Amino acid sequence: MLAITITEGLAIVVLGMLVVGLLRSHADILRALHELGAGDPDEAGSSRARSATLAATPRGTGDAGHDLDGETLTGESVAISVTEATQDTLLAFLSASCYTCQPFWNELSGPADIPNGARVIAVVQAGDNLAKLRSLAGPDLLVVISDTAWTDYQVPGSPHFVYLDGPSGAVVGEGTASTWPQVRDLLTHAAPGRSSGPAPDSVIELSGHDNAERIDRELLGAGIGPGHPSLYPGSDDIEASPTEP
Amino acid sequence: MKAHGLSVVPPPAWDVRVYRRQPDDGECTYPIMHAANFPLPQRRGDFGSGAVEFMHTAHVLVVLFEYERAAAHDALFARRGLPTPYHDDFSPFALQRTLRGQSGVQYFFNDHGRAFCLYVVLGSHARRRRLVSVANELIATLAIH
Repeated sequence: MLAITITEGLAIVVLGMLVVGLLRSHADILRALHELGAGDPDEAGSSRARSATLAATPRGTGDAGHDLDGETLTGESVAISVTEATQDTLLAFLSASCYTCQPFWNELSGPADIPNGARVIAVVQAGDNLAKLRSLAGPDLLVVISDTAWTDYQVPGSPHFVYLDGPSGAVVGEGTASTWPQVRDLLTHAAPGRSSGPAPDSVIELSGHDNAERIDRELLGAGIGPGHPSLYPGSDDIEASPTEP
Repeated sequence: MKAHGLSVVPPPAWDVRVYRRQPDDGECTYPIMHAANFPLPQRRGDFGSGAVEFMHTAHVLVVLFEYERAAAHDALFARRGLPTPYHDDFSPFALQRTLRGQSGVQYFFNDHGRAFCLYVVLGSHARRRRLVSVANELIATLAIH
């Protein structure tokens, strides 16, 4: 009887610890989401502002836009210069198969409301499903098949957006998004009512994945290099000094 | 950019497309190049209809349209080599689609045994001296192989 009571007691303690652990993890997740501005439009704005601050650090050679070369879905050879253009350009790196790209195909295949009169060009990779791309893009959206553009702009995956200033051809915003309004925000904030090129520090980024080179640069700037314990979840040394290599 | 035996190096701000229409039964189609210093719309006619409607006064459209090789020996295509447009050649009455203020010119010529029409549209006849030099920047990079 005593043994059963002790076993039950231990089971209750272990289960209790599990529940507390789960609650703590849940609270951490909620806190992280709150910091990202989830569910609160005002906080979302401040999150974007934080992204902008991060992106304002000097960038590498990726700052300059690259002209597009490739083929359209109808087999036209195409060359598009994005520099010294009278209008800005939004490059939408999409694919036929990515589920999160679907809202953007829906939006861009019709008469989309594009801020700043920017020109939209969808860029896909060679080997993507041409028939499906044709049906997704419709007759009016310019889609360029160009692996080179994906390499030039260091696109980590789809959907990914790069916003180029027309006169300078410089990248003034980039990132990923899950909805068209987020991309519209990128365009609006990257170039609020400007008529000429933006200041170099007005780079705005959407949240989400980013290019690896810049992430590495920013981590190194914060003293976090390869092998740093904070890069390995579960490590006991997470609280170690961030200046430790 | 090289396609269908044509090569071109677009100057900044230019859009270039080179294509060949899908032939209908028994039809032969030939390469066509559209080049513009403004964004070319997706739906365009071979001689730029659908695009000229979007042109402003600073815009230029260059069309290179190839005909069948046999035509290279016809009198119409007797001129040899890619021409360089001259501002006095332009006329508001030489447009495929007449739009107020615009101006155009067509040159028929042969090059490498191929027959072509070079058709240039300027957004403003009044500014043709300036705009012809813009068109010629593009044409100077064009090569037929």
